[in-house]
Amino acid sequence: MDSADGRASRRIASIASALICVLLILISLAACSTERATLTISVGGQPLFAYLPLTLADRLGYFRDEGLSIRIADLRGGSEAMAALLGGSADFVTGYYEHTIRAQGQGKHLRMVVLFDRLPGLVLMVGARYADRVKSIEDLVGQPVGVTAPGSSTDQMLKFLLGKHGLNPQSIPVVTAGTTTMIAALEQDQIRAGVTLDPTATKLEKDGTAFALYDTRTEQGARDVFGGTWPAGGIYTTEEMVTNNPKVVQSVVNAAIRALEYIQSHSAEEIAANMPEEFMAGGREQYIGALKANLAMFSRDGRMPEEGPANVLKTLQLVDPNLTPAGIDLAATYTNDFLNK
Amino acid sequence: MSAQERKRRERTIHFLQAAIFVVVFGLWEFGARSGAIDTFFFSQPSTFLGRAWQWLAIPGTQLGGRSIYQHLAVTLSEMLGSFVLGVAFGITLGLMLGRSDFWARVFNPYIQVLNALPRLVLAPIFVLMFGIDERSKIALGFTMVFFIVFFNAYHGVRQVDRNIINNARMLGAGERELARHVLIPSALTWILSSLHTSVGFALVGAVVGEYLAAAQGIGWVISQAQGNFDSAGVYAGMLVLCVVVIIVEMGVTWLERRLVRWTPQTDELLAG
Repeated sequence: MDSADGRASRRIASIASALICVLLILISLAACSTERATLTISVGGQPLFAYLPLTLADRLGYFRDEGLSIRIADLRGGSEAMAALLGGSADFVTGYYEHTIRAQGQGKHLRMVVLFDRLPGLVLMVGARYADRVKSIEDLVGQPVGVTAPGSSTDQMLKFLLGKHGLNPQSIPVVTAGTTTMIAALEQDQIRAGVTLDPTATKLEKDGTAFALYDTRTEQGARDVFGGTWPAGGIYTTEEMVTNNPKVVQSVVNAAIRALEYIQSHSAEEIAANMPEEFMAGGREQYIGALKANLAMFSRDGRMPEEGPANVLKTLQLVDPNLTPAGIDLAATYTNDFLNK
Repeated sequence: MSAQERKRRERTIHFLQAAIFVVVFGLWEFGARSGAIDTFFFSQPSTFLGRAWQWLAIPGTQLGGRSIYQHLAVTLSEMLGSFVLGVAFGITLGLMLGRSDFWARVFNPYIQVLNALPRLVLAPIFVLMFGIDERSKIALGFTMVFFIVFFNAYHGVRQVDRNIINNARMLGAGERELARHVLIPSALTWILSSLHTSVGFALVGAVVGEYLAAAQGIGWVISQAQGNFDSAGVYAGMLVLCVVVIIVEMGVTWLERRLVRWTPQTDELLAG
């Protein structure tokens, strides 16, 4: 089989593969260099209202004004976003405050630098066909319930509700359902219920697919479920980033504050005009309507409220008794130092 | 080598096997306790062994409302389902295409393309089609098992010595008798050689499918632990999975030995 043709074609093949290797190396080097100059902000479900200030700041060029080039990595849930930070592939996370406390419980030091949401906005939606059978969390024991991703705040709320009702927090099999895929999962009855946020929750309600059983989109609802102030979404990062790169952190916070101020001074229509079409699964009108109803959830100044951290810790303890007030240094989980500068 | 020397050799081997285990886990534990190893990512043996023990030995320990045994039952049933379906279809199609050169060539390009496709990429499609219950995991495992068994059955049939086939035909064997007494036993040697791999892939299909989208199963348990940053849970899940794999492997070896008694030796066939 070692004809002249055979040898020639083998030589061509080896030259070709060598060239391809060189090309791949050059491409990966190029990709590497661009990545180093860009900040990566991971988020678990970018279309959700809780994280709206991030997209707003990006779209209105506030990060660019601060001299930052950012890349937003949209993942299925808050726990995946945090994993990106801990694994080194993200510099900041747009996620829920409660993660910083749980991370400290595991020996990892994270700090929230600006708060987006005064209200959690988490809703446990139950499939419409179960309206008569499911009246409380007890009726969902043993049934598959969707969350954005295991370990996220959606998962945490579910386990907290179980604990609050005296049930084993592990007694509901949790299904990873992301944000938009949860809609399909509920429609197809793959999950009996799901924990999500607006605008997904409103779409489910308007379509008649599901109804809200536990709703923390309002002050009263949040109080009923969590027993007090429950600060939620914001931007957090590692202690190292805060200590070693305060200028970068300050720039990120500045951009975020401007976005919060924009929300205070503009109508829902004006805000929605800056959002990408893909975020509006139920159409622009529905999106604007839901946004109007949720405007009160956003923080005015990004400041962490005094009572917030302690109340969040109390609710987390119900799920994980190992998180004791004695063992957790709440002051290390957030800072208001970057505000008002 | 005398019987005594052989026994001594066996004992040394077993001793070294145990020693490796002790050394690796000992270093791990020591490293974790001294802080050289970050337990957030790597956990420590005492913790995850304890967790695995808690799952297996303490009744009432729940993971999503079920015991670890219920999760394992689900995973094993998915594995069995995809294995049985994959083997049945693989053997049938392998034999059919092995016998008919014409149809083999007709289907050849499609089989090559489907085989080259990375099957894990099909996982999300199966979830869309079948949902999060066992069917999507069985479908995933099936795509892996089928091709292995099919190719082995196909080659097994094509490799049958012409002389044997001619001898059988001379003795008056029809197509069905040929298949039963010559082709299948001959292809069986080939299929048996792939048994371990196909069982392995059936399990991979089940576990990976569960990891991606499910409400139960050992893969689900591991993905839950991972999402909650519970490294001890992840390693405990992997440990339980390893134990299951070892048991399944022992079962497959037993099955293999029993079936090997069926397969004819070529010389016997030629002589008889």
